[in-house]
Amino acid sequence: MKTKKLLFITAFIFSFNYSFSQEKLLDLLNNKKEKQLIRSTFKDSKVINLQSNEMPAKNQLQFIISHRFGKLNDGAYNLWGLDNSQIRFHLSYGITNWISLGLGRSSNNKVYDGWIKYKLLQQSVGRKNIPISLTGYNAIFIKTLKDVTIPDSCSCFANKISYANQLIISRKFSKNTSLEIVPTLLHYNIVDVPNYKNDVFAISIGGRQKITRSIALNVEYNFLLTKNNPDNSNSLSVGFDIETGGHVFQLHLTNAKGMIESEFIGNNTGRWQNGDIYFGFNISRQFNVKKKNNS
Amino acid sequence: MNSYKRISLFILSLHSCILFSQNIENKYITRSGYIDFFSSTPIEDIKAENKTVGSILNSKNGDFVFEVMMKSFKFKNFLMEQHFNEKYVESDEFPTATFHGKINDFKYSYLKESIELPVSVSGFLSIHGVEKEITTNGTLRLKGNQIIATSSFILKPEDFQIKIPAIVRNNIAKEVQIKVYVELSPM
Repeated sequence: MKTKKLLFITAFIFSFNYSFSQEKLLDLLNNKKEKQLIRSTFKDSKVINLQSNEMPAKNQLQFIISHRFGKLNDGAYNLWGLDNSQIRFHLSYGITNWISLGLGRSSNNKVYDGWIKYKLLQQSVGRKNIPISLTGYNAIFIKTLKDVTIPDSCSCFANKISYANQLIISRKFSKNTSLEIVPTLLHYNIVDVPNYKNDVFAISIGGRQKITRSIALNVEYNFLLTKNNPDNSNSLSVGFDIETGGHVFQLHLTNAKGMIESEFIGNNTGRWQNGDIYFGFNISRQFNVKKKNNS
Repeated sequence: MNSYKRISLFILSLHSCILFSQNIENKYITRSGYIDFFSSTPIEDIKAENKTVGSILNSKNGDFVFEVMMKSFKFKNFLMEQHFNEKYVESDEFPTATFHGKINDFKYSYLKESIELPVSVSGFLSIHGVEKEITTNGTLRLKGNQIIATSSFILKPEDFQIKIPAIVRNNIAKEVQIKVYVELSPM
């Protein structure tokens, strides 16, 4: 009887088998959760016309050629706008991972622009949960087109300048969907008509939906809060991003002629319902600029 | 009945003593382990390093586990890092790669200072949501009270359903060299 009970107890002990399984070891490693930054909210530094929260990384040089044709309602004679075109070159450089500078030139009105873009806050999960990214953008535009309608007394350098200031509030909702809201303040040093305001306020919305691993659909809408010219319209653009290796191709349709904020936000008169639809494409390429001391 | 109770109590306390000693002395851990991978093709060489690998070794039975955060692989070229995370390993969906297995025929007493003991490790490696059984060779040695484990082996991206688009197919080798180096300290 006693041996039976002893046997029973020993069996009871060994049934416990309390060795630390491999799964338990993995669990032990798991308790430290690092802060993970959310990256690639948008594919590139622009949604279509609108600035996104993205910018070149440190030591990265980005070159974009933007090509915009004429309006669809230019008619068959002008091959529905394909005969007309304007080009913008854009070169930007990441100084650190959170500041970048850029230069550009548009053939439309022959505007030179320079800008700075900086990350104020970046969306992250893990130890620190930050739901949105905040990015600042400040640009200066210098119009060099000789305009015979402006009297010489008014054509000093300061009159050629306008500014754009934006706060880009963006969030990556899922692997495939991102949205941003951008309040904008534009300032024109000189306006066409005396009672126009020099400051224009607008609010823009941009969105990206990934369709396949390399293709995404982008939409943006720029809503003017103050309108100077009653003819000014809100710009709406739709486009695709296609990424291949080191290049990103963007194809889009928009009702805005210009590609810079002072034009497509504050100075747009195109209307989709009138057929003022411009087809355009951008080609973007990134380069890594390696410094000699980095091996 | 009374003696029954006494015996059970004694055995239970013995049991917990055994458990207690098992818990404390046998685990070696690191959270700053090193893993790198290297792919070489005529077109370009790709290399990335991860310096925050977590690993635990149970010196009682040779159980060995690794946890690797995919987003912690650092490349010199930011675009490569972006493509790696977004398109190849899809690190938003599969943030970690893990290995759980054991060192075959492990005995702690075999480990010596300044002599590299060749060992073989078998277990399950899970990358990009795909689990694969692997066996590979490595070395172990003692350094003070630490155990240093190293290993070099080859993995094929296609084994883990990591799809490389045709346009860059020739930029990435079919076989990628992996190097592991961890310094484990007693827990």
